[in-house]
Amino acid sequence: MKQKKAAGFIGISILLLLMAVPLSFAVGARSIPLSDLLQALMGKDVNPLYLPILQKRIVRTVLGLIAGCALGTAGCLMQSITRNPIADPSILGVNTGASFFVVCGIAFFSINTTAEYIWFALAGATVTALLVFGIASFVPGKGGVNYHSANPIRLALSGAAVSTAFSSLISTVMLPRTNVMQVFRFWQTGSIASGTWNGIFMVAPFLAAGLILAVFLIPSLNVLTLGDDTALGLGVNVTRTRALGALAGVLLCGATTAVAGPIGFVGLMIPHLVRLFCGNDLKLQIPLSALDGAVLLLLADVAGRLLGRPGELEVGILTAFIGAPVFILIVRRAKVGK
Amino acid sequence: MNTVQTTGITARGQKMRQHRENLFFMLLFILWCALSGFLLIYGNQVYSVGTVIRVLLGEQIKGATYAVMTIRVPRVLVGTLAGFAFGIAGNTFQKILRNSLASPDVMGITSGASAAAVFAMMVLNLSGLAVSAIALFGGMLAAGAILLISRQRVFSVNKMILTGIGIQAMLQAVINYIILKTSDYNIADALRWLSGSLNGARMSDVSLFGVIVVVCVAVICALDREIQILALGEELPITLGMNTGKARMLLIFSAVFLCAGTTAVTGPLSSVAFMSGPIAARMLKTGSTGTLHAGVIGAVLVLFSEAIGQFAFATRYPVGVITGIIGAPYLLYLLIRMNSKNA
Repeated sequence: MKQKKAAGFIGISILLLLMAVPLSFAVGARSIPLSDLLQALMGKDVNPLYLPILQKRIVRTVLGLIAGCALGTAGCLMQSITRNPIADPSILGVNTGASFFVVCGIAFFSINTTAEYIWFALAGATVTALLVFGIASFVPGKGGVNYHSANPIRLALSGAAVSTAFSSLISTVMLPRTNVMQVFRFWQTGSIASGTWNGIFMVAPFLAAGLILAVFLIPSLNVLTLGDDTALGLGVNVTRTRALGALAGVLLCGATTAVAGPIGFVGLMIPHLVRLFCGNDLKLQIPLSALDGAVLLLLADVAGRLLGRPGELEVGILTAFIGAPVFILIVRRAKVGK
Repeated sequence: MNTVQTTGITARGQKMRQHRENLFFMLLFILWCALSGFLLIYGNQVYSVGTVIRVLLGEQIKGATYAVMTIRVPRVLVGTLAGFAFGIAGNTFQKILRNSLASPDVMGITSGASAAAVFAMMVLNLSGLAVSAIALFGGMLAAGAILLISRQRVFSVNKMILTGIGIQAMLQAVINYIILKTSDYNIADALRWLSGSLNGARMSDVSLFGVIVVVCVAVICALDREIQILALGEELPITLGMNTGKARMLLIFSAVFLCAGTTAVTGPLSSVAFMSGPIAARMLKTGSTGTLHAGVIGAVLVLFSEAIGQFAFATRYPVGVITGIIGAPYLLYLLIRMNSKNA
């Protein structure tokens, strides 16, 4: 029964992906009819107007796919290493941290290439992730860090507090500089519309490293779900597994933020959805989170193009609108103390 | 014999506590006076104390009258009222929900007001009173949504706070979207307002704003005893024969009104609502609700931040940026302290 459910879920996911990709090619401010799309993809002559549009949409679709993959996997990793149902880059304030570093980069170091953005965003994501987890699990006078104390409410609040601090600092840096303000507002909302091949190639190594690391960690992470003591007894190096898992998560969401801006809640929703159908085995959970993350991001992007006509609704806004209610649902079911 | 003695001690204790409360109130008031005086005297042009007093008394002095009466006085008054309102709104929430993190700015009620106001300003091109009215409505709507969604069989403040954080994320998306679509010309204004600022303060705002603040604060002060009982827990107030639902709703309503109304005028002065209550509680340690103390602390915080934002740096920062920078470390400190208590 369980296996049937999982198989059905996988089937539907793949089907949705196969639907989402052509939709993403076809839909937009100027839609391309399906027959013309097929002709163009097979290299036949079509309306010359379609070619530049199609080229842009292919880049965008590829970016959406890899960003969704990365975010889904990152969410899954973070939730399993913290054993916390609401761990997600957006809730933890990691995105705001990455944005803050990028703003500082634009303002003080006049950075303007994707490569530079990536390094700043990665640094920001890492620092913030460490800070938030540190605060959530820091217990003064009890030997410092204690993972068990990082319950959902504490994690969410630490994330919110760090976010507030960073957004104040962002305003401090930005308000006196009008030129930064113009650039930066595009950094506050995640979007895959302005992707370039160059940018994609630039982040690809980071994303690949993160994904490979995640795959190698699956067995140890699976044992970790049994609890720290059991994992230790079974010969897993708990601290190292956690640290590597966090590294992979930060690589994935930092690099994604560098090319697409902060896209929230994908990493929160997808692992929960996957767990609902496929159980707790990370061997299924991680690849499926990657797959469904891509599906969700792409479909959200297509929906944004349809809803926002004649312009478009950025995908980061759409995922926040789908994700926030899901977050509230998860909170309602979670045990967070009285 | 024995009882008489005990009563004597209790009475003396109460007198001492009362004394302590009055003393702190006086100190805070003096601090507020000093800050207001500073903000009236200093600015682009420095006027002497005598000049400022003469202007305040109605004398016409070239240059000084305009600077003091049209710019500085409204700024100080609006700052004071805003701090007072945020302080009291936050304190009321924290007391009746028994959690220092349960303040309207952490829970996203101010975000509701902000999102509505930005929508009104940027999309509907409104200004003035209409924006305020819409902001007020937005704040109430956000609060209503949080209350409605977090209603469960077993009431949990933590879940309510987390629900608020979720709703806040959604509202932030709305704000970001509007900012993204705004023309370059308006964006500086929008961002300035979103961080909370006293720059646009006008004398005409003060009267209506003042009435709202006074009415809401009066309601909250009248329910002081109810706040004290509600602060005891879920079951005890019922045992004591109180209609908890009604009192709680009325208190929450006035606090939300206060908070959303203030956001409509000054923008969200982040962290003021959330800092004032705990500071008051630490200062007093008398078990009173400390409503007015929290209010005055809020006013002092706002004026202090305004002074820092205006004079401490080369560029002038809106007051909300400074309160945010002061507030964030405090929130982190509170979280860490919470850890040590629970672990």
